Amino acid sequence: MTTVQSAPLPPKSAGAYAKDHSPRSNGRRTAMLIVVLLSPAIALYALFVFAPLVQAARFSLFKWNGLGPLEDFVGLENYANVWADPFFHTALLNNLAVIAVSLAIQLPFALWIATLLTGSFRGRAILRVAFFLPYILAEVVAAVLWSFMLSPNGLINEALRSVGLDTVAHPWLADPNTVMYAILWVVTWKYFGFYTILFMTALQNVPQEHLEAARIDGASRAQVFWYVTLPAIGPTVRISAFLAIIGSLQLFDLVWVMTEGGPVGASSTMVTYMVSKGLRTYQFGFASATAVTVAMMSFLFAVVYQRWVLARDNQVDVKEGKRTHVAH
Amino acid sequence: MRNKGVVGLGAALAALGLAACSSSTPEPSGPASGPAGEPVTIEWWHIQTQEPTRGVWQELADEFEATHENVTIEITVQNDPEFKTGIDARAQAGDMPDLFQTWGGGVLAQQVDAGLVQDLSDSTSSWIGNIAPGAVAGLQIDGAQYGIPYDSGLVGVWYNKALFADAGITDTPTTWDEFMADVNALRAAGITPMAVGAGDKWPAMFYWAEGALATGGKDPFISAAADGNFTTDAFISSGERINELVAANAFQEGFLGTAYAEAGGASSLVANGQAAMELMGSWAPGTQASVAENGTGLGDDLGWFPYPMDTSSGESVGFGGINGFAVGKDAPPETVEFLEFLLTPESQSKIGAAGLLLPVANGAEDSIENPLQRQIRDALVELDYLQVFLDQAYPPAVGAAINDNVQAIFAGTLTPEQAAQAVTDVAQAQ
Repeated sequence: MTTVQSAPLPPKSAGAYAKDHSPRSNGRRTAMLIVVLLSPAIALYALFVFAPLVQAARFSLFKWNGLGPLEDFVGLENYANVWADPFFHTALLNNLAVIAVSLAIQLPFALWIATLLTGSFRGRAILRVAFFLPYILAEVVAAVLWSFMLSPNGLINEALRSVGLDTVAHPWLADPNTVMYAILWVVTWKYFGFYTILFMTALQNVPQEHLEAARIDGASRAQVFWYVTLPAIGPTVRISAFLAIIGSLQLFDLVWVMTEGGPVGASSTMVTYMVSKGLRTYQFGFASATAVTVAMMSFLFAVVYQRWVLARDNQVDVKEGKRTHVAH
Repeated sequence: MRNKGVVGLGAALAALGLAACSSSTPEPSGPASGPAGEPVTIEWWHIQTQEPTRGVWQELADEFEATHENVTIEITVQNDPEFKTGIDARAQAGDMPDLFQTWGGGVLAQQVDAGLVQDLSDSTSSWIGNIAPGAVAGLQIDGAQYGIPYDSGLVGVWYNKALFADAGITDTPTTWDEFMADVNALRAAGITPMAVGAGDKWPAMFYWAEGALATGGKDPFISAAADGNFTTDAFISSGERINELVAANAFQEGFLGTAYAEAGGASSLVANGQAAMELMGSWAPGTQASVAENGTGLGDDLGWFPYPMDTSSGESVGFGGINGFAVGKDAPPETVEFLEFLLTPESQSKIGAAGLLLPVANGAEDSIENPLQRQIRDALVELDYLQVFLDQAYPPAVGAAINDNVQAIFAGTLTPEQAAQAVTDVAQAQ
């Protein structure tokens, strides 16, 4: 992961670019170059990202069981049904819960671990690997492991019983009241390592002079952290939050393998909802409407977030309309 | 110039990309038919992932290949949910496998409507008479034969005789009151009365179907197929029976999240003597054996009795399923020959001997070694009406709604009336 440099941009007419071409033909050449270099990527993007989305949007306007031709045009009825369905509301709330836990618990926890791991001490390399291990595990494998551990006679409950906490032992994944907590736990366990690594790299690039200057000025450790370290790793924090939110909106594998969104839809996310209510029931128009809804949500969030939060990390701050240095 | 080189490189890359794209389009797979003598491939999708049945299918395929030198049979084995996903993808592409698993009912009807399935009425008429008529009828759509059954079974209560003796139960129950009394006796003796894989949803659906069949006979099911109304008394009272069982603490801990056939699932609880009963299909002994700690299951301790029916109406009805094979529209004629071979009494005897499935061809019933399964098969052929699994009998959306809402009855989040109404809403929106 590259860190953001704080070097100034090169001055405009130092001679590197303005050699012996007139500005107009230089511009056209550049444009042609851009088109040629971009065309493979655009072709792939169009084929694998844009086209399916357009196709899904088309399917979502029909009532279709997946077999035979598209005949039954129903307009926006599928979307109305999705938004009216209380099961979808539950799924949406569950997604929001995952986002909240990611931002409020997972990221701060990862940051804390990262600060502990930036000091040098024996065994640091091993600990780094250990914390990163859950992330490397395939999602399905992790889900199967945890569904065994959380089963009524699984490792967790047996451990609780062996220390005398029999009353706490519980069928975590079978009780609609506790299943979401179990899912949140597994999600946190699975992904915090990734953010730890990101933060570790960012912390290593905090300028030492600033830290020393702050300490010399008499700042306490908390103040140093809050006023110097945290702003310095700001871009990484903002990107991590972005990744966490987008990932939470798309959560599927872990939930599906552990509970299939059940029992009675208590642990469903929007994507598991789409599979169980749309694909399993052969209602592909309905499923497509759900898919497009999730895609639009993610897209909207990404655009808004990029514009308002990540803009300050760009070399050209669109809001201010001028070139800026990266914020310290 | 720097730019010229880069432009050239970019153009070369673009050309390479386009060439790669076009050469990677798959060869169109047309029908693999040809006159006898030309090489023919039969693509066969089945769902018997467990031995020994899996081995039996392979053996039969090998036998057929040996006697028909131009035929190659490609087998793809998947478990139930994977198969359903896979077959959907093929159906959407309009390219069904030549021979594939079917359960009849709403899904097969949809596939037939989409023109994907071969009509077998004529090509099988010479030999279909040897197969149990009830099962054959179950795979007809609008009077035409679209599938051939290879197994049919009844759902019933599999129980542990030793645990029943421990609880002081001497006779198997024949009425619902006796059944509830037995459940209470088992719980009082500290034994988990029943194991249910409500996490998979369909085992829970069995309770709803059996209860409705027991109190209402076949009429509520037939009329629901016509008008989508599931709020008839039989279904409501069946939901109330489920509530009664849950209130009596009849099931294992965490039943809402338990799967059926996995390690630690409901089947393994029965197989390892941790639960006394399960309401399950005729494949149960085989599945129990595959998940039992001792490798074989309960052995002589395993017993079977039918779900207590209200016999006052005189109807002889049962709940179960039919497993069959359907033939894809573009399949080569050798496929139907192979199907005929699979349904001969000899082939069916091998299936029966494997112990998981019940053969439907006459002359194969003596191959069934397990006396309980023989008991089931003999009961099956006597029935007036076999109600097929609800998530197969009705259109998939209705089947899924039934599974979801019955799970809700088990969870106590919906009353029997609300659940029935929810299913009706989906059924009537079809």
